Amino acid sequence: MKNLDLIGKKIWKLDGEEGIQGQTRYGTDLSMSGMLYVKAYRARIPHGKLLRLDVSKAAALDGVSCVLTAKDIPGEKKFGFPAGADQPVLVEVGGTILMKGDALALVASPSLSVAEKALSLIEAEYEQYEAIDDYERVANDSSYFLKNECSGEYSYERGDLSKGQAEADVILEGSYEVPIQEHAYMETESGLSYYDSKGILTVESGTHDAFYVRYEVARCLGIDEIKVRSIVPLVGGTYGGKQQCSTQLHIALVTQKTGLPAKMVWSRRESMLVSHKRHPAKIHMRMGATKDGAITFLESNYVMDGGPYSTCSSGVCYWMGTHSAGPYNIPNVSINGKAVYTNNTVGAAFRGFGGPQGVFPLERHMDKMARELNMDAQQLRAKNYIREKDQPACNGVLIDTRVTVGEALEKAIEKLGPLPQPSTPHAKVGRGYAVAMPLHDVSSDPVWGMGGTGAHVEIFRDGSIEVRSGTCEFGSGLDTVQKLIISNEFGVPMERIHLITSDTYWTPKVGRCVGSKGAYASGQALLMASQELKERLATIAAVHFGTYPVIAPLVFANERIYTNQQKRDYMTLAEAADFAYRQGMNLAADSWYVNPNRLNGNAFCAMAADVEVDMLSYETKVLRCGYVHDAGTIINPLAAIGQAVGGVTQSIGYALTEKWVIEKGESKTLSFHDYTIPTSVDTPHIEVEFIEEPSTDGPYGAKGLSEHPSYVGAVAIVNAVSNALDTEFDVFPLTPDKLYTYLHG
Amino acid sequence: MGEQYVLKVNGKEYALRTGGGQMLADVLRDELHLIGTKKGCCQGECGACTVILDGKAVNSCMIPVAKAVGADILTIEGLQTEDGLHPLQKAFIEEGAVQCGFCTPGMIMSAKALLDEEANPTSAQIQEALSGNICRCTGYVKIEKAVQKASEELRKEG
Ligand code: FES
Ligand code: FES
Repeated sequence: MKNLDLIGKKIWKLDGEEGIQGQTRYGTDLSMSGMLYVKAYRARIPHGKLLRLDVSKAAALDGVSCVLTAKDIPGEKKFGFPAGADQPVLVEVGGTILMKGDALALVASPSLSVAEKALSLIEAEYEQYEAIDDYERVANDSSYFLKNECSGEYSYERGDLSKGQAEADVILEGSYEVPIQEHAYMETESGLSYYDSKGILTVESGTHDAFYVRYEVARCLGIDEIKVRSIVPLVGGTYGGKQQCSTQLHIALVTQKTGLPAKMVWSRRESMLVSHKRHPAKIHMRMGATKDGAITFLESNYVMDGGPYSTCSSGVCYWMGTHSAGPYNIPNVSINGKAVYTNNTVGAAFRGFGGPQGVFPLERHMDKMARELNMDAQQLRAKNYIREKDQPACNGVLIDTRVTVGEALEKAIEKLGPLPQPSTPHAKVGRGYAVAMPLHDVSSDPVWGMGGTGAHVEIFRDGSIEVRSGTCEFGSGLDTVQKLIISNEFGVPMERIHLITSDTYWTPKVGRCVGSKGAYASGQALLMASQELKERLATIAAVHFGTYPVIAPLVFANERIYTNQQKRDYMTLAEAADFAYRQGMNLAADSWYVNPNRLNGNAFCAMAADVEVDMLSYETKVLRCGYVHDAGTIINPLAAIGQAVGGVTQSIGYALTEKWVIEKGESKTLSFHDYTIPTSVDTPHIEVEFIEEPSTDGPYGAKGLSEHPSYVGAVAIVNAVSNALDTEFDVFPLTPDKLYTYLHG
Repeated sequence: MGEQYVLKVNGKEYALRTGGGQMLADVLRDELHLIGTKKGCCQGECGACTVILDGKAVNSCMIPVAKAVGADILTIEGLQTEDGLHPLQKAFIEEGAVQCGFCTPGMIMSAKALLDEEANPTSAQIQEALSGNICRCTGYVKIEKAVQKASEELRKEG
């Protein structure tokens, strides 16, 4: 491990100060003179043929700069990642509408109100088809389908199920359902496009990957990628939801057509209607165990609803499968799942990426199995935990560090203290918990189009350092982590490091910043580049100290290079850099990091929660939570705790209040009034602890961090409510009406 | 051209012309370029657009600008003094109450309205005062702590 002068200390978030003064610019805040506002006209039906589209009145309206339809798209008319481009940029006349809210036409005007007025003048005629909305039926009834294929499939087998069944004293079956969840980032999708002074079409927008946006824009516009620049400004939340193109292609088309800057900001309703969601899923699970609690087999079959477009359903479906057997060593396993096409909302990445959907049925089932065996649920888990070097029930995973899952659960429960008494005579309390082994995709696997991760580190003659990294910042504190790493490596204070991120003009290519790998992969790339540059500077120092060609392990600290730990003889970094410059040496180093291991299975987490249910109102309150997570070395504790608490709170909403209503492909919950997100009054006392078991290949031993609470949060709470009411809840969110119907039919 | 009117924001007076039926949030952002006031829903349900109007925290996306004429309006940009950041701003940074930061200006304005009224609020009062402000990132725990810390700081300052 390196000298951790700064790593692990409480550091302010870097961009905090500007943000707190209201100065930082998000996509929604960008503007330019002469800018046009762009609005999309969207399909009013979930499924049908577009028979006629009349935009003539809109085009004739005073103040309208242009109205665009599918025939105005010079390049590819469909987009989408990574499975394939199957979502229309604009549906063409004669084409099929597959989702309510599909874009049909764009209007642009210097006046927002004129653009809105123009929308109301567009007329569309449809031939409406039946909405294919029952995803379970799609999976089982070959005569009922939207597309004659799946958007994702997963299959894993090991051992022999019949052997596992024969060995079991108890066999338990269960059916479960996990719901849709809306990301509900506070900043809706937005973007600004313009031609820069060199004639490059520039798009600034919130996304996980500036390079992906560049690729899609160039394809859609029918121009070379070198003619497109993509920049990611500050992003007002994403949690995985802003991975696909939203506004980008639409504004770029308008700029290409008019030559003018174009801006689009989705309304909240539009965002909720069109944006991607967490996939809902139905699961049927069978598990067998011996009397003393050894699990002999697990069989899980599931189906997920991916909506009409493929996006990353194949990945989410895969991820759900890989998490379906959790951190348990089960000899005989069969897991099969698929994601299907429907006319419902599009399922895509959301914090946990299918993992929470895999963990929910398993951790519910473990509780039920414990009851069946008359055994303590924690004990049953402990009996079956995986151990170091065991092979988990999924492919390509290494367990190469100490397994801390049991310790995590013990600590999480400890944090709660004794179960409190009900606060009123008509309340019931209960405790629940759950564990998980969230895998993370640190490899930047090219199969998924993620590529490797680059970094560029350059020292200037005055000893200040410029860093270029393609990784985006959207609230998880990655900018701070990256600067911390450089500061720690070179012994240079944070204010003398300039970080340029996510601008295809300047920053090296990275894969998408997903899968909790931002700090992991970029951190490693930064360390590699730093190492190379430091070696060069060390050579200069060795010459200076007269020891060359012997380059002793020099110490970089206090903006100096010291001969040894005693820190007596030194050369300043600025002197070394200036000398190197005058010698004609390269003051910059570039790196390219690709992790050979596809997945790492060495992060573990556990959550325990106490809840109270009011039996008059059927409202559930989470009283307190303990969340414990082995995230390896913590680079920035302040940000790490923030990620944990934020993730737990999103899980509380997912478990209890966030009920997405969709009927026949028509979403009904398109506002925060109808879709209830936790607020300050719903937040319990949350205690977080990190177990810092270093990883073998993360920067300074760090592991992935931000998605993990989502794996265990909701199911721990549903387990707690089940315990409180002595009733098995196999669906959620447990809104008062759901509780009532569950209990009283 | 609409009628002329004067808006008093952060102690400064601005002469503007109405476009008719505009909401305060839009005037602040689009005409006065005070982009610190955010818009998360324009339906009065997220609190990102919170400003202080005559001492009360309001959702500026729901206030027709005509209703704000003559009032004292305070936005996040008006919080800082010559001595630097307001204790609330400092506390939000120090406590790590900011992640994506999009909700932060609105959150701070709601907290400021509370602390102006109640110098030593209880935890329940803080939660209540912030209950109209959605934060999807942080989970509120650190936000509440930051408000507590700022209230201590302000009481010390007297
Ligand atoms: S923007 Fe005003 S309350 Fe959401
Ligand atoms: S910090 Fe992102 S919404 Fe509050």
